[in-house]
Amino acid sequence: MNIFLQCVINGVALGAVYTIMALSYTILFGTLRIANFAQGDIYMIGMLLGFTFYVTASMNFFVGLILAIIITVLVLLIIDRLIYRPILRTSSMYLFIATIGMATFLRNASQLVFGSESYSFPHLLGSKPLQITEEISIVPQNLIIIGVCIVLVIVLFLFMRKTKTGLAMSAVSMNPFAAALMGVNYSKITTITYAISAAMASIAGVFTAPMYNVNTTVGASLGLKALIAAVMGGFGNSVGAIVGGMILGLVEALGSTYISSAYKDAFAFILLLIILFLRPQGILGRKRITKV
Amino acid sequence: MGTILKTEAVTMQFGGLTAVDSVDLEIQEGEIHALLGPNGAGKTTLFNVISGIYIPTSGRVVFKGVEINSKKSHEVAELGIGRTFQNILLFDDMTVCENVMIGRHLKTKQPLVESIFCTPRIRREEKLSRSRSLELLDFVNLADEAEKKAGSLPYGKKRLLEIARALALEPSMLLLDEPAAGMNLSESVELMETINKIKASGVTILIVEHNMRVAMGISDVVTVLNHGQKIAEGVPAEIQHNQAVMEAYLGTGGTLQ
Amino acid sequence: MKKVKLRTKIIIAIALLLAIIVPLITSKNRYYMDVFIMLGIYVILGSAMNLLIGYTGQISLGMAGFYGIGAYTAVLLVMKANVPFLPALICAVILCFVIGYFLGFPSTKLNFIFLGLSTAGLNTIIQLIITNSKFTGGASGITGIPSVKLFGEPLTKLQYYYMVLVFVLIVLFICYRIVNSKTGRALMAIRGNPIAASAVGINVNRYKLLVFAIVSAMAGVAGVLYAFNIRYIQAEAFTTNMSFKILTMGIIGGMGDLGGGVVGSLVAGALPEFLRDLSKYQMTIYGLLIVLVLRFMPRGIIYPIHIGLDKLEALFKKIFCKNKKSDNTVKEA
Repeated sequence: MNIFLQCVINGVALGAVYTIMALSYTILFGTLRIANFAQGDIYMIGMLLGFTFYVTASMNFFVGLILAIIITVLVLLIIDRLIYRPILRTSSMYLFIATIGMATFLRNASQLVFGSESYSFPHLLGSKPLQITEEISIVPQNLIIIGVCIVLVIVLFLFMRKTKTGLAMSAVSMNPFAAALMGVNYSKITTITYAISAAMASIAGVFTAPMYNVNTTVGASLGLKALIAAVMGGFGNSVGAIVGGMILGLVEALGSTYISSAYKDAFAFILLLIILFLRPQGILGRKRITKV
Repeated sequence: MGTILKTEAVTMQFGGLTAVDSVDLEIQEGEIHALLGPNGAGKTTLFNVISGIYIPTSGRVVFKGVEINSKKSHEVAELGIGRTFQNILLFDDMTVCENVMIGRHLKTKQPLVESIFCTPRIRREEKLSRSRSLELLDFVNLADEAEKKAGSLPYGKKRLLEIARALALEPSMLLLDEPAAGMNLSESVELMETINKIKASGVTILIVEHNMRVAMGISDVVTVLNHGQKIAEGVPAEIQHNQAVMEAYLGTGGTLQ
Repeated sequence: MKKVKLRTKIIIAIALLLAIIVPLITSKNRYYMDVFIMLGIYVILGSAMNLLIGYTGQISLGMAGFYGIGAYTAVLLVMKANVPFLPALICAVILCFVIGYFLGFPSTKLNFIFLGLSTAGLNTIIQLIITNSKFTGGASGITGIPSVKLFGEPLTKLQYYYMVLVFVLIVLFICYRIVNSKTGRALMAIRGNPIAASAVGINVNRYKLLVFAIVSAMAGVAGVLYAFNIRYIQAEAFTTNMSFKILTMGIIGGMGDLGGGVVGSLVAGALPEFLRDLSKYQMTIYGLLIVLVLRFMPRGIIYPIHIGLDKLEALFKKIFCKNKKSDNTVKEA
């Protein structure tokens, strides 16, 4: 029982990471119908920048965080302007392939900047686990991650529901042409959406840095799994992203303890195949009506 | 001549919206049957139900005695229902002739393994497919455009090409979704001739048409839908003087020509 | 029948001649021979990818998985069950076809994003199985793969190269025949518009699965040829990185163009050999290549070649057949 509870706690913490990342995919897909395969590498860039500012340059953590967010956002915005947007005019499939190419490029090119070794990022509140009972504990950093996740979810939902920009984004997601006719500036909304998406990925990157080896390959599998979480939940649906992220975190934590740790990375994909088979639109996704 | 297609209380709902509401339709073999109705009356949705793109929420669709409610689109095509689309779905980057050849998919006997070995039958079939397609293009007066890209055709010709592609299936029934939309007067007159020729060749036609002149001019029977429900049915002359139809189209007090 | 341009025939003849003769000159140099053999294998992989992505609009990030299944199946059959090479190859290809057919099912659901994800997942799972299973030699792989024998004599590198060339030609011929038949038209119709395709009676799901299986089988052939050339396999060779590499090969030449597939494979495959000092940056360059080609020449690097040849041909005509009516097309036999 204790092992099980411990797994659940670890699973929720892992799920929180997937949730933030899944949301960063979902906001892009939900609003603009773009699946940015390189999102995991945007996360990695955020993490490494955070490391550079906080550890290498020994800046204040929050100053470093904000700088990391700003630069990461700029990187994604430049990619959007120079590459993604012009390609989207050709075809959405070409864009998807281009994001795969971009992921490969970012992952490997960042080695030129950051080197190929792994660094460790200090825990913000110490690495000593907090004992909940004698056998159940939680690392403070995981508490922080769960907290950050909750705050981001609330802020995001308030933003989407209460602000003019958020509502304009929803309008674009429902019908870009109608939204444009109503005076929504599509280009501006695209930029804002990319910015939010990159900001979320970099926040996730910096806060989860202590839990991982900080290196340039860290984003690859995490990004892929978060995309799976988003797809499972119902791609484009924010609540779905949270559900998908949490389920994936729990399944991985429980599966690697009770089934096999060697095959930990396979669970996400098996889960995805099962869900695609049973419910192709995702857990909370709505079936799209084919319009003819 | 018997009934070729029958819908029994067909209803199609999307979420809370009832697009087609318990529609009974009976189409006799060899006739031209028109579906009329204002925008949003559910005509195209009914087409999509018949051609297998949607599965009706309730009700039955029977084609030549076979229930086709839950059949997929390609299975419906296999049974002999060809169709065109309101918003023209051609294969733009292929030639006009290739578009029609794709329409002959089911009629072309080219098993994959044989195709790879390029047996005499494959070549024969390929030749046959091309020559039959060219005949069809001739039938709709597009023979001169055969090697052009489908995407480069003007609007009216695209509509004709879609009809040729649907005919390539050698269907016993043809569903035409607003074939005259976007055509000028002379084009639509030509279209009416073509449709009559198709009828003469023994194909039953169900047509959705906004253009009253075209619809009334060629159809044997007219069914009028409004808000998903059938509000009138009869020969064109009756429909022109039907009160309910006039109200649906023009509000109270209007007349139809 | 579809007409094949004389120009295309000439180019194919020249390419074939080069492919046959150049290795004869370099046959003493094992390194060059290995490069040529690998290029042949890449052409198989890249053309298969091009068929999948260019003609059907499907994407696979799991090609390296099937490449691996092919390699391991044939090697294990030969080493553990003493099956001769050719039957082992055929078994491997059939297995890849069957697995491809069943695992292609995500292709019938929703769109390319989901297919991309599930195929990437498939690659990861195959990778994990290879690494963790004792049967496949685990992470250290399988060494001592016997050489392929012909009449009891092991094949020389040159002979092996010609064998690969034969397989390349078979694969290209199959691709060509598929594209220029009813099946190919059906595939292009599905890519163009699946709804219109099914309205003329094309069973969209069946064709998607079929082509996914065919492409998987081709990757399997490539895997077998790879394994018996270097005679040592380990999980490293079949990672998602390899799948990205195959994706690059299939795309940069020009999607939906068989010649583009070949050119793309050769360029992407030969690039690391020209940039040996930059081998560390191989993947960076592949990523950049995909992005830049899609951004600046979405028709692929073969497109400017086509245009160049068009001009060349016009020039030739001007010089040689001033008054004659041009007769540059020949009916295919």
